[in-house]
Amino acid sequence: MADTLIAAPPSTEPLAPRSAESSRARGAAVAIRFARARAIDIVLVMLAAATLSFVTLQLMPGNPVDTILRGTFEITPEMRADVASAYGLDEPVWLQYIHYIGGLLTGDLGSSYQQRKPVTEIIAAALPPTAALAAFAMALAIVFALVGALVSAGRGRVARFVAQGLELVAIAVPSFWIGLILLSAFAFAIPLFPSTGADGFASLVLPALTLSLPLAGVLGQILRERLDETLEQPHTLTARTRGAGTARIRVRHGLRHSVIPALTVSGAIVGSLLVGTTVIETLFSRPGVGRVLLNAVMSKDAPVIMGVVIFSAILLVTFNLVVDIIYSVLDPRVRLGAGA
Amino acid sequence: MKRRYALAAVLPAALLLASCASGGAATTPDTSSRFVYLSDLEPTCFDTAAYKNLANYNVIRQIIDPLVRQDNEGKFYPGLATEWESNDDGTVWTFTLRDDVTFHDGEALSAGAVQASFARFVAEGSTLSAPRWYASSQAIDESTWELTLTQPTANILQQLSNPDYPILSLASLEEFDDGDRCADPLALVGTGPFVPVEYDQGAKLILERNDDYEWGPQFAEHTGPAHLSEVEIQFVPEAQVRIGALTSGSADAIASLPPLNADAVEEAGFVLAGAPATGVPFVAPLNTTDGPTADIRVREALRSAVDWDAVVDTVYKGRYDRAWTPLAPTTAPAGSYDTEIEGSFEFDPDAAASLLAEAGYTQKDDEGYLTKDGQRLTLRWISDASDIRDQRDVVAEAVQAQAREAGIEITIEQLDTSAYLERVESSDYEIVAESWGQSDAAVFGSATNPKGLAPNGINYSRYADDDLAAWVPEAASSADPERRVELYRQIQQRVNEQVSIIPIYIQSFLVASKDSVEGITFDPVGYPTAFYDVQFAN
Repeated sequence: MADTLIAAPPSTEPLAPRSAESSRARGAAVAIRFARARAIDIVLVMLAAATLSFVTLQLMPGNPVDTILRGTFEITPEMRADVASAYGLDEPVWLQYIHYIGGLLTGDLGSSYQQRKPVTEIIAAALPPTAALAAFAMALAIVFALVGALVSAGRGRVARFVAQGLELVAIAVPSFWIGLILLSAFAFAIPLFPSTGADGFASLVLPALTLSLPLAGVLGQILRERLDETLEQPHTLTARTRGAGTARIRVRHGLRHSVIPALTVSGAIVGSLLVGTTVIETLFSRPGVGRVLLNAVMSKDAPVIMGVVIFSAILLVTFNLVVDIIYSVLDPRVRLGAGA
Repeated sequence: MKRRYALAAVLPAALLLASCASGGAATTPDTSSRFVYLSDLEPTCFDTAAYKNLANYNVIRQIIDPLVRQDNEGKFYPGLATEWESNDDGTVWTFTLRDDVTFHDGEALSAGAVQASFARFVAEGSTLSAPRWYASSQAIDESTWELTLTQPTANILQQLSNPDYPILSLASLEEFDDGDRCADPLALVGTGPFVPVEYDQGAKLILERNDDYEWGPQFAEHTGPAHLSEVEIQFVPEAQVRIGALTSGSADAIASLPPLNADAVEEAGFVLAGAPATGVPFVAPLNTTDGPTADIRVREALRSAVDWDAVVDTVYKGRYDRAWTPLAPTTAPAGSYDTEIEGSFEFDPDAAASLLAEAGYTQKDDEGYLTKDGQRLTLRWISDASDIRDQRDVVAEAVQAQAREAGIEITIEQLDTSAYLERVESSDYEIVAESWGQSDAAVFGSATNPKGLAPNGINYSRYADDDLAAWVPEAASSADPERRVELYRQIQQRVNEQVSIIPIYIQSFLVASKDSVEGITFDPVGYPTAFYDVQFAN
C-alpha cells in the first residue's frame, strides 16, 4: 500500500543484495504480524465502505418504497406499508444500520430490492465473467506495454514519438469509441468474434482488447520513460561492458527497475478496471459486476450498490496487499510491514 | 451523451456499407427456425407480478398466457378462461377455465393453480403488492374461479389480460419462491407458446417451442404450436451494437430501433415494424399548484411558444406522431380519444408574449429572459435519468431552445429515480415528462385523478377540480363503455382548456428485422408480443 511505497521510494540506483543476516524466523514473525495488520485493515476498510455507502444512500433524497413501487400507477397507503415492512424500511435508520453491519459481519449483504435475491449471490454470479475480462485485459495491457516499451525505449526520437503518440491515443480515446470500432470491424464487417455475450474465449477478445488499451497506454508510458532513464544509468553501461547483449540489458536490468513504478500505479489501474468494465460490459452485452452496478444505480437498488461498493473496497485492499508482496520480492530494500 | 449522438450518425453508415459489401445476408432465404432477437432491456426481475416494466412483457408473454386476451382493437377474447361473467354491480367475476391446457411441467391447468397464482400476492410475508382492486378470490370447482373486487373496476378484463398476474403451475409455486421467480425465468412455469430452457444473466435467454400448445390467441394467424422451434433473446443494451448485429446477419430481429437510424436500416433492405403505444403518450404535466406554472397564462404561453410539430419531427425524423391529448389515439375503449382537440391550439409566439405580459412578466434581464418583480421566469424540467430513452432528453433540449426565444428559461435536471420521485412528491418542479403505457384509458384517468397526487398516484400536474373529482372515478368504475368514452373525452377537453398537461409525442416501439421474417406482432400496449406467429419466409 501507499505507506510502504512512501517508505521506500522507487529508485534507479543499483539494487543492493538481500541482507545476509535476515534470519528465517524473523521473516516469519514479520509476515504474521503483517498478515494480521492487513486483516484488520481489510475489516476496517469494509466497515468504512459500508458505513460511507449507507450514509450516502440515506442522505440521497427519496424514499426507497417509492422506488420499489415505481411502475404501479395507483398505490394505496397499505401497499406502501406492506413494502416498507417487507424490506425492513419501517425500522428507524439506526436500527437498519445495525442490522446491515451485523449482516455484513456474517457475510450477509441483504437482498436486492429489484431482483429480490441475496446480494452475495448476485455478485458471486456476476464475478466470473468480470474477473475473466479484467484478468485478460490486464494481461493484454501488460504485454502491450512491455513490448511497446522494450521496442521503443532508447531508440531515438522517431520511435519515442510514435510510441508516445500511440500511448496518448490509447489513453485519450474513450473506450466506448474504441469498442464500437472494434465491433464494427471484427464482429460485423469481418465476423471473427461474437458481438455479444460471454460464451467462451472468442467473446472475451474484443471486450478485453478494448478494456486493455487505455491501461496499456498508461503502463507503457511509465515503463518506457523509466526504461529510457535506466538505459542511460552507469550500471547499464557497466553491464554492457561486461558483455551483456542489448536484449539482456533491456529485460534484466532495465525492466526490473521500470516495473516498480508501474506497480505503484497498478492499484489505481485495478480501480479503473472496475469502472471500465461498466462501460465495456454494457457495450458488449456481457454479464458482470459492472453491469450489475450500473443497473443497481439506475434503479437505486441500495443493497446491491452497497454490496458492490464493499466488494470493490475489499478487492482493492487485497490487491494492494498482493502488490506489496510482489514489491518486496522485486526490491529487497522494501520490507513487509516497513513504515506501517 | 453527446458523443453517442455523433456516433449514432456515423457508425450505422459504416456498418451498412460493410453489410452491403458482404452481399446482403438479408435476402438469403433462411430455412432454420431458430430466431435470434436482440432486446434492449433485460428484465431486472422476470416475475411481472413483482416488477412492473412494460419491456419485461415482451419476454414474459412468450412463457405465460393470460386469463383473458385483448386484441389491438381493445376487444376481449378467451385466454386461459373460455368465458366470464360478473354480478350486477361488477364486483364478483366468475371465470370458466379451458380444460385442455397444460403447464410446461405437464400439470393440467386448474382453478386451484389460478387461485394459488393470485394467493401469492396476499400471502403472509409476500413482497408482492396486491392490485388495489383485489379483495379476494377462490376456486369454485376444478375449472371455475371466482374473483371478488374491492370496487367495480371498469378495466378489470384489461388488467387480467396483461402479464402482471402470471398463472403458474401449482407444483412450481410450491417448489420456487418469489425470489427464484424474480431472478430466474426458468422458475416461471407457465402455459405459454415457448418454454424457457436456458438463462444466462446479462447475456441471453433461450426459449424452446411448447409442442403441446393448442391455446393460442383466436386472433392469431395460425393455430397449434408456434412456427419457430427456438428463440434466442439476447440482451444488448447498445442500439448501435444491435444495428450492427442485424446488418451483419447475426441477428434476425432487433428491438428499439432508434428513429434516427430507421431510414438507413430500411434502405439497407431491412423491414421495420412498429405499433403506436397506448395509454398516456409522452406528455409534460405542468405543476398547476406551485411555481410560475400555477398561473394558467404561463402554462398556455409555454404551449404556444413551442412549435411542437417541429420538435417531434426534428428529433424523431417523422417516425413518431405528435400527440394532441394525454391519451394515445388507439387506447381502448375505442372512441375515447377526442379527435376534436387536434389543431385546437397552435404555435403562436405572439400569443405567448402577450399572455406572459398579462401574467406580469414585463421586464427582461440581461440574458434576455423575462422577469417579474425582478424574478426570472424559470421553469425546472425534472426527469428520471434511468427512464430517459428515445432521446427524450433531446426533446427537452429542443423545447428549452424554443422557450428561450420566448424569454422563458427552462432548466433541465436529470435525477436518479428516487430523487426524482421525491421532487415530484414535494411538488418541487414546474415540468415533468412521462409516458404511461396501458391498453385502457384508465391510466389516463390515473394521470388526471384529483385524488392521485404523488406518491399514491400519477397526477403529476396536480390539477384538481370538482368535475374531474367526479368524472375520473366514474370512468374508472363504470361498466358502460359508452359512458366511459364520454367521460374520457370530457376529461381530455378539461386538460386541454387548463393546459395542465402538454402532450408531446406518441412513441412507437420499432422492431427491425430481416425481410424474410414474418409475423412480428404487437400487444395492445405497443410492445412486441409473443413470437407465436413469427416465421421465416422461403
